[in-house]
Amino acid sequence: MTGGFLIVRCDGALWGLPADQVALIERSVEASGAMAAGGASGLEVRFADGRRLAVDAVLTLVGELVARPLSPRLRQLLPPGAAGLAMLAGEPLVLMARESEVAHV
Amino acid sequence: MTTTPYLLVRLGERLAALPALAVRRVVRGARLHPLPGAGPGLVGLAEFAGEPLAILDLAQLLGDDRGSSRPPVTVVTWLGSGDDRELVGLGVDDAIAVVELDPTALALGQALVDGRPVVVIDTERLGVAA
Repeated sequence: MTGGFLIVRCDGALWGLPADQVALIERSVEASGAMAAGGASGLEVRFADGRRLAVDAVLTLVGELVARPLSPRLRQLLPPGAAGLAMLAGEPLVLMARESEVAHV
Repeated sequence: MTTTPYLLVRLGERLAALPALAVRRVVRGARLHPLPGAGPGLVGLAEFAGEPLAILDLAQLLGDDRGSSRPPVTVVTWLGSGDDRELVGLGVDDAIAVVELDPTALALGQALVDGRPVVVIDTERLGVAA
């Protein structure tokens, strides 16, 4: 994927993932069975640097988001990996830090 | 002596006062989007005037443990100062009244209102690690 953000729902919350760092989206075979039994989605986003993120759903790809960077006050309270906040269709979302920023969050 | 207006809010059994000039709006029942994995003190995210707004639990920021209960009232407030100033939502149990406090109350961090002790919030420093 190139540019923009992949919008996913993760534990009920919206996240914007840097799309150019997403290598693969996969649904596991085991999870397909769990899903039939009402379990988790089994969807997993894999990043180019090897990181993995289990998600509830992959929603859309957006080219641009108006990002609000995190203050030190909010940075210490948001989940690890968060780099900013934005809005999409009236719903707030968390932007995930790019790989190069992860060490600083 | 000149006094300063404060918004008196309830946090469980105790009272706190927020500088009224820092308060933008009081909202009851704001639509909240929980954020799993967030630290204690962050209740979730909401939308305010088209912008994302972090909702913080004022009681937890002051060191109280309120368990999993969610504060029903959000006070949209400016925190910080200068370039660091930002708008956040402070979750409280109720917004009670606007009261006038002596300017020394801010430096002391406490005051008495109708004989009851009140924590006076410094919105320029709230939520910033010492």
